[in-house]
Amino acid sequence: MTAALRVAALSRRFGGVVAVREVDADVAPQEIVAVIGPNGAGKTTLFNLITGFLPPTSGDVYYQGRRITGWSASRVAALGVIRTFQNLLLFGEATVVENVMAGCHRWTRTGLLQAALALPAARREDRQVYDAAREALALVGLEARGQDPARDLPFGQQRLLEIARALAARPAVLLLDEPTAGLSASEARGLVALMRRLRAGGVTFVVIEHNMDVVMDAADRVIVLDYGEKIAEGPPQAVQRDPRVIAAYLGEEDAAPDGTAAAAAAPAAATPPETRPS
Amino acid sequence: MTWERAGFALLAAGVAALPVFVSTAYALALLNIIGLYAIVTVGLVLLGCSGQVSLGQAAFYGLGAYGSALLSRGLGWSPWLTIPAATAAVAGVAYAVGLPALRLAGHFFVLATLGFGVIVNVLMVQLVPVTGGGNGLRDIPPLQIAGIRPATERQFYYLIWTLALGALLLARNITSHRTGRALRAILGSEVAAAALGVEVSRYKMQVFVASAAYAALAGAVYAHYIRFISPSPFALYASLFFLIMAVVGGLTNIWGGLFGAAAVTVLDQVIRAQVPRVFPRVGGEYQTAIYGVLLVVIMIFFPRGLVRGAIDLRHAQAHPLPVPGGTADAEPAEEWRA
Repeated sequence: MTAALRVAALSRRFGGVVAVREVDADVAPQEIVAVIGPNGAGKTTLFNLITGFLPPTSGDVYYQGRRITGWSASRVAALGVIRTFQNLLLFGEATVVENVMAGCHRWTRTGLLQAALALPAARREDRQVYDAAREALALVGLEARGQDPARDLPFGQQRLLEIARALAARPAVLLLDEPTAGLSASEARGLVALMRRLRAGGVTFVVIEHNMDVVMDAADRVIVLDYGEKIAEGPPQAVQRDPRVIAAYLGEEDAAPDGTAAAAAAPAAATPPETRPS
Repeated sequence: MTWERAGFALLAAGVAALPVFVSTAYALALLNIIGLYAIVTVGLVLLGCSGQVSLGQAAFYGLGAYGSALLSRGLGWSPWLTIPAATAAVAGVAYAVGLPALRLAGHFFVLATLGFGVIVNVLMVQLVPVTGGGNGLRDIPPLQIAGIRPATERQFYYLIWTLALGALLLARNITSHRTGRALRAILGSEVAAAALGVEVSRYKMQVFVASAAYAALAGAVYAHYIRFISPSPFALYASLFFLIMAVVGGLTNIWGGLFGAAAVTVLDQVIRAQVPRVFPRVGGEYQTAIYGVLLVVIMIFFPRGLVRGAIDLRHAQAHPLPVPGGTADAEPAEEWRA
């Protein structure tokens, strides 16, 4: 089967620093892949390279077998490869539902002229978009906040709002950058359940995630980055025991090949304390 | 929205009925100028809806005026033809200017439009064989309306305000529907907009060209209305003047564009009439100073325009704001309980 997403020998340099180095990976359709790694490992840069926000220094990106290297961000998004941002990028002045309605751009068609003349098609589309936005809000449990200004939402709900906006785009591949940061434990569990449901409906997920409970729970496969290189890949349980992964999280010298206790401790140490249930 | 439609109908009725109550030549002329400025300002607000600011609108206004004047004088075409022709030509110029200028971010785009405005004005002054230089162009062919040539002040009133209301309606529609959502997304965050598939540079170009066409249309009508043009009303000062109108109305508020054009034009008349009485010896520079201060004060205290600013102020008095960030502070505590 053609990979939903594939990167081949993908690299990105910033001056003398190599942020992403020769990364090869592919994501099967309807797979949930987690990308983990210490801070500064190049996870968000990898997202930027895939989604067209940064051109790679070398290497290629493929969507369903089609080479999309060097495409603009809006062109990549138009294909259905939709991302969210680690540092939320909401339209703060707009209401919650307006934010989500903006997400419907990809599958709607009204142009400048049709809008200028307020043709019936443009107004019909408005109703469609509004309904779709309400549906997306309901998926993340924000349907009651539709008319509130987006900036009035607490942080965790703003993150859910950004996910709802991405869902409104009807993505084929959804790249989520730390979707559970700032969510309560129950909200995070709800998000994992939502991802499973959407995956059953055909959506492919790539998720940068620090919360190891979420990774263990949600991911089919984990890709581990360290200093821009892919150092491990596989099912979550296997990756958790991988000595190279433990070394990346705890420091080079502590990698004991037989240290299963250390292995169990390592990802837990990487979990930000505020997302651990108390 | 229905209240908006009702407001528009009310405005149109008011505009239609106004000449019944206002009949002095001065008042009609003032209303005509307000109408022309409103067209330019609404175009500038349309541009503002995509988060862009131009200090070159007077150049587009002037190009429309010179374009239509030269076409009708030189080729003998009817102004009814040269007005749309000049408008379309200036839209083409704006596209060519936009190609390099829109690659620039934020402040640099503003500087590019400012530079363009200065260049155009210098050309108006220096290209004497074409533009008549500082002496300007005289004897611009008049418009003929309903068999009357030149058209009367009142006929111009109806022409100009039909165009102004049409421009307002078009701009309102463009900022609604899918294009409006895309523009607001760009205004909110160009990065987030692109991530949702919004072709950011294409939309910015579209509204830039539209805003230039608005200015050119107003300028072309102006040329056949006043029938004499010279470079000075199209200088940088005029671009600043248009920008102040847009800012007074609220840079992203289409209706505010109309309000801003009216308020600043009337203020300008009052200043011109009253300041020399109070300070008999001041030169022409005081206006620039007054507008400069006005612009700064509005940007600081009413960044969303005077109308929205007043509404916000009343709202704030009626409902004291919660402490900013208060909800965010409460959130971690809730998280620990979960």
